[in-house]
Amino acid sequence: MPRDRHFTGAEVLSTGIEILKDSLALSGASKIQRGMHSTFTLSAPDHASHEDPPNALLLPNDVLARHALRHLDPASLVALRTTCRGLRQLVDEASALDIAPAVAGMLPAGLLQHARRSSDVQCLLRHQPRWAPKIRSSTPHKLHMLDMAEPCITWHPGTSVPCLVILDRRSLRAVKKAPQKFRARHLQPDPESQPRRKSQRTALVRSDQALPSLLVVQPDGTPRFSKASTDLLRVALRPQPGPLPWDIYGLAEDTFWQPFWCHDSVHLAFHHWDGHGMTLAVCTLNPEEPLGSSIRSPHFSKPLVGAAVAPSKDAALMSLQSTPCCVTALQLPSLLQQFHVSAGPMLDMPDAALWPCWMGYAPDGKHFAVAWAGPADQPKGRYLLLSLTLHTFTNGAQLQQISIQKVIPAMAVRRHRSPVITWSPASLWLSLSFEQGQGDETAMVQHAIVDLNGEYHLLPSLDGHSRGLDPQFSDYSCLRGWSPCGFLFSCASSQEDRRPNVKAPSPGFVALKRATSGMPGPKSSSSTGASITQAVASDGQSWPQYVMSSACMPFW
Amino acid sequence: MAGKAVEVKLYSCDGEDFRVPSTVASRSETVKNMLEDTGEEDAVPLPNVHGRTLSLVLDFCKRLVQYEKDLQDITEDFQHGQLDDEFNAWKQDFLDIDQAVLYELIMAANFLNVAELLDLCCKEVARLIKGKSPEEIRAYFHIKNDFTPQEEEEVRRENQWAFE
Repeated sequence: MPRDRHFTGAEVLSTGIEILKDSLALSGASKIQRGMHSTFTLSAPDHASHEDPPNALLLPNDVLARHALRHLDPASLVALRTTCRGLRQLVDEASALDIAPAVAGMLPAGLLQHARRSSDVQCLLRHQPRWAPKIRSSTPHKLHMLDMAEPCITWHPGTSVPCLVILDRRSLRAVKKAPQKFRARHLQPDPESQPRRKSQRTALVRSDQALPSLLVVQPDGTPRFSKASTDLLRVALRPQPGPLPWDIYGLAEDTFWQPFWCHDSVHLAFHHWDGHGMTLAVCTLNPEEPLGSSIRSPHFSKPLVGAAVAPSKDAALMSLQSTPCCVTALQLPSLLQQFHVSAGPMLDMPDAALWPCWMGYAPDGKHFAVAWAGPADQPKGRYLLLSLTLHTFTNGAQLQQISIQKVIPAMAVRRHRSPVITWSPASLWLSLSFEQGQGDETAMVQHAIVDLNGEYHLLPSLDGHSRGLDPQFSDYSCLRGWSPCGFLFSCASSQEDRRPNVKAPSPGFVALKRATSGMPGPKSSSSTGASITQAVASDGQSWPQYVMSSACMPFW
Repeated sequence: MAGKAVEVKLYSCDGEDFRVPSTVASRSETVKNMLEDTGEEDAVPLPNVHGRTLSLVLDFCKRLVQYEKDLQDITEDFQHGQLDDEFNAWKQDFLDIDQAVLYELIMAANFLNVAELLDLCCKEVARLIKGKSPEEIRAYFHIKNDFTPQEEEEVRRENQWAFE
């Protein structure tokens, strides 16, 4: 092998997968046998000690792996495998053998949506063994080292099947250094990089000649590699024949991109600012039938918020700009609609003082919400105003604003603590979680629910009274989330003591409980009662329940 | 007239004996197999299960048999949910036990092959693990951290998202 040879990403990937295969081969039936005989010690905390646990009980690994681990969520599995070597091996084996959820492969979409790290991909490959051989046996690809790539995982909405998309920006950066060369390569393949085998349809090129690389791993393990995806990039950005109106290599610097599922195919949404104008584009990641749609306008200003992609079958891509506040809808294969939204008259301040902090479609694809935040002058301290605008789609392409805006005062102005807003899977509510307080020292996490009528329900603090986060403690963590059915919202927070390994948990559970009687029939305009209940763990062990309040919410 | 259910005799490792209907005892695949081999007249020794644990296992089996019988008897759909609620509430009370007993129960359910009980108990163990940090799990279950600092760093890095 020549000493100055450049290793391509494909080679690196292949070597990695070879190693993975070897390790997976080891984790076959022989490991099950080993697991049957090895044991993991669990001891009752009230009676046991590190040195001599008198009541220590031994659980065979297979009992733990086959029965307990499969009830654990990925986050708990990760925590468990971080405790000791034995449990790390146990969790990994259970995941590899499909006994427990794969640690990375089954991550909720919300967790991995923003986790674009190579370790996630490596972990995903490790825990999706059926993918590895197919990737290995497929065409070598000029993907660069995973460490330099940006993986993104999208989830099939119905089956939660993950699809892995990797954008290799390293090659894009390299491309930017030699744009002319890149264009030449782009239009005509490099003769030196012709495939050495027929199966190697993708040219192996050096990094400074590489095109934007995309690796798409489909649920069945079939990979889609760079050649097709490069074509798709061109389709997406240049749907009509003709010269490229702008430099495609600009993608490297300032492009928002997000894969998403639609019509059982994976699509890629681009949101690209090239210094002169904004391009919004959608394309399917299907080499046989590339389908692209894009719109470019110099009037679009640079966005402050990324794109939001409709999960509905309409596959509309929405994008928000700050000035003017503009939302554009793209529907495959053509432009659907463009409209403007504003923060509204309730916020008596210039638009420039506000920042759009969140936008998103409801899971039903019929409702859309935009939130702005901004500081407000108040006599004492700083406060944050939040405006939430709800829109609804009717008759397909028509967009109608149906809800009122909501202003939430008295919140600490900290951009890095922007409110966390999520749609209920039932598309009936939005949950808002935000930090409230007078300064950096004291703060309290508050949760609120907004229904489609714009009614705002502030949930009480988790411990039932208005105790804030204790300044004696260090940072806090707050979890919140909707149940899959969309009718339950849970949240919990905990603070870490400044002393190491000491926690002062204050977990709570706040639930929107669907009424069991008096349900209206389908499409009824009447509403039914829904109660908001809260269960509080005062000591982390007991969970008394009481009804907090009631509210009327519509059910369809 | 329905005949009286056949009773079988089970012996725990500490000499305690239990007389239960064979329908209840047969919820345990292990016992069921032994009864098929030896006949229902002979007492079944269970050398791996203590009396107090066997008592709990049999309580669970009795309630499970009752629940399944009630399910067969219902005539209205809404009763199904009601029965489920009652059984779930009973299971919650049932699991209000010391952790040491819980682990004994898991071992017994595993040995006796009572799938429903094993699943229930393992869910409880999972519930105890859920939401805890690695440090908390170690402290709670008295697990010794045998990672080197480098190894621990590597493990954490593999799933960084979980620690943010």
